Amino acid sequence: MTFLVIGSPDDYCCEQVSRILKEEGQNVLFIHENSLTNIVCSWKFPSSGYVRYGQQNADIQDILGVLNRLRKWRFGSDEDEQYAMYEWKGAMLALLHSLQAPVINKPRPEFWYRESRSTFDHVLTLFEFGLKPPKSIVTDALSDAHTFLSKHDGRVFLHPLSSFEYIYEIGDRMADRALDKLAGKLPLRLVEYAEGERLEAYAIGGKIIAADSHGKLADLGSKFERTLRSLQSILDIIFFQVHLVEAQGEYYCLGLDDMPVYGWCEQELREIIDHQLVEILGIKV
Amino acid sequence: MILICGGLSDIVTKIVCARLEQLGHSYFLLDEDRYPADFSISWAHESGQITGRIRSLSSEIDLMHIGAIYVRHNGAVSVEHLRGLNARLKEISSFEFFLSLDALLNAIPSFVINRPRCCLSNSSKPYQQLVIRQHGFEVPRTIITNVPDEAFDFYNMCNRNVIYKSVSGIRSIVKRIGQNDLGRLGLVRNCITQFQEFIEGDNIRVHTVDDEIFATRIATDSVDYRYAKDEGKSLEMEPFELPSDIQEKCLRLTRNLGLIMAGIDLKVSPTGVFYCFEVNPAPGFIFYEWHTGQPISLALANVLIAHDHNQQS
Repeated sequence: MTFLVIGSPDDYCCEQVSRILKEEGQNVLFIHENSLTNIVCSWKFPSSGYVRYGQQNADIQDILGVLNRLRKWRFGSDEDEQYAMYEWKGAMLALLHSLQAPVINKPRPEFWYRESRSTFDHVLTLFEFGLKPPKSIVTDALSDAHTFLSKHDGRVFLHPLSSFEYIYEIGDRMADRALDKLAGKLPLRLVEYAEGERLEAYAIGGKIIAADSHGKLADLGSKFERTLRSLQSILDIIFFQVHLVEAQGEYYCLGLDDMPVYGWCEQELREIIDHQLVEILGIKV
Repeated sequence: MILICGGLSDIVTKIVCARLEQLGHSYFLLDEDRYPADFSISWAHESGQITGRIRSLSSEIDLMHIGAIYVRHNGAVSVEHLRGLNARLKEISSFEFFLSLDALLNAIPSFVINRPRCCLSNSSKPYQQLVIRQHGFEVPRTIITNVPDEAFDFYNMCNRNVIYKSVSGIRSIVKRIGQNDLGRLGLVRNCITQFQEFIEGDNIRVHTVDDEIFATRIATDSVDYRYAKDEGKSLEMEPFELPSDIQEKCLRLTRNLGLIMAGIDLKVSPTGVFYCFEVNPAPGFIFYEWHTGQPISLALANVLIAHDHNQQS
């Protein structure tokens, strides 16, 4: 009987969950996201077979739970390598989805193929569930970009559609030059700078907690917690993070991540999340 | 107004435009063969409202006036017209333009056939098989493996009647494993591969268009009928009346995947069992329409027009 942890050894969540599971006497098969093609797999659809990795072997029916933190798929530049990786990606989506054991998170195509969707796309979807995004524009017309910029007194972010990581704050002086340079070459996604307190909300199974910008536990209010709970049931994901800004009594949603990052938070908060995850996997700590 | 998102070099897009013209309904074509070179798109999101416009060299459309959209993507967005970008920047630029269009198509409150986010299930055939099973269809015995011995055992278990095809959405020609292929099974170590029991019987291609169903029976001696002509094999296609329970399953499967239109691949065994293989969210239905005379494009155009009218009223 084995728990699968798939992700990077540098990932705080993978590291902690593996550690706790091992401390509780559980067998953990850790699959490194950089060496997926080293997996030996034989999956008899829909529910039997095995996965072998290094010296370890796990029967699919004996998998007790999975922590899925597969974020980076290395497609390489070689056409055959790319093809093989797409095949793995398609296979892993289905295999993890098919398991009867708890999987955090059970993959869904709209998140799994994140490279096919813009970061904006996720934010706009959240509006339907009562999470308000800041005002934004996507344009390839320089004049429209300037109008948006003036309307917001130059207080805007340039947020590429393909990246979660790179967000550029446009200062007054830089704005014109940056926009002029990029206009026509890319569609510009400009987002109003929502002034207020940054918060990170985490949904972990039935638990909703939040961290302020210092990583300390923060209060979200019961109404907003209910919103996140209903979002959780509609999206059907156990563990996610919502990037928020609290401004004038309202929450603005900057994005949603189905592979939350919380290693930067204070210990108290980290431990709540770690233990909650392990409990979801079926081990009472 | 109806928006068509697709390239005129694609026959399906061309036919849909022709049908709308035939029905006297105006449309705006975002010709993806010329996007973004000859088009400009600006849209804003504020308090749940999407506002903005799409501008071509000769006309412009307000997003608020778009009642229905048909999407048939044309592959990667070409930014060859942009000067002063190296290959890497061109790749980024092309991808950003692609994402900006898809984000709009996912967010706009118009009726969309089909929203790009709902098409992603087609990127994993076994994922779709899991969904298909939940809808009560039979699926063939399947193994997904990179272990040659396992593939060989499966081959024997299925009485040497096995095909192989891609796991992902990357197009592959379905091939049957022959005696001569057995020596190549060792190559499976390099790439995880899907092997499936070959189901005897006729292929049935079902096109769902909103509430309508068009089924085509395909009799061929080719394993993958799409390539029958190239292989010099026989190919006969005719309209087919699906049993009502199978019709219902097809419509439910389409809807539950978030789709309005789909091309569903079925096979009916000699004993009358319906197997389902795949759901294509952007079906090239013209091939079937031309062979059988079924009015699929007309049905599609009518659905777009009806929803465009609904939106306006």
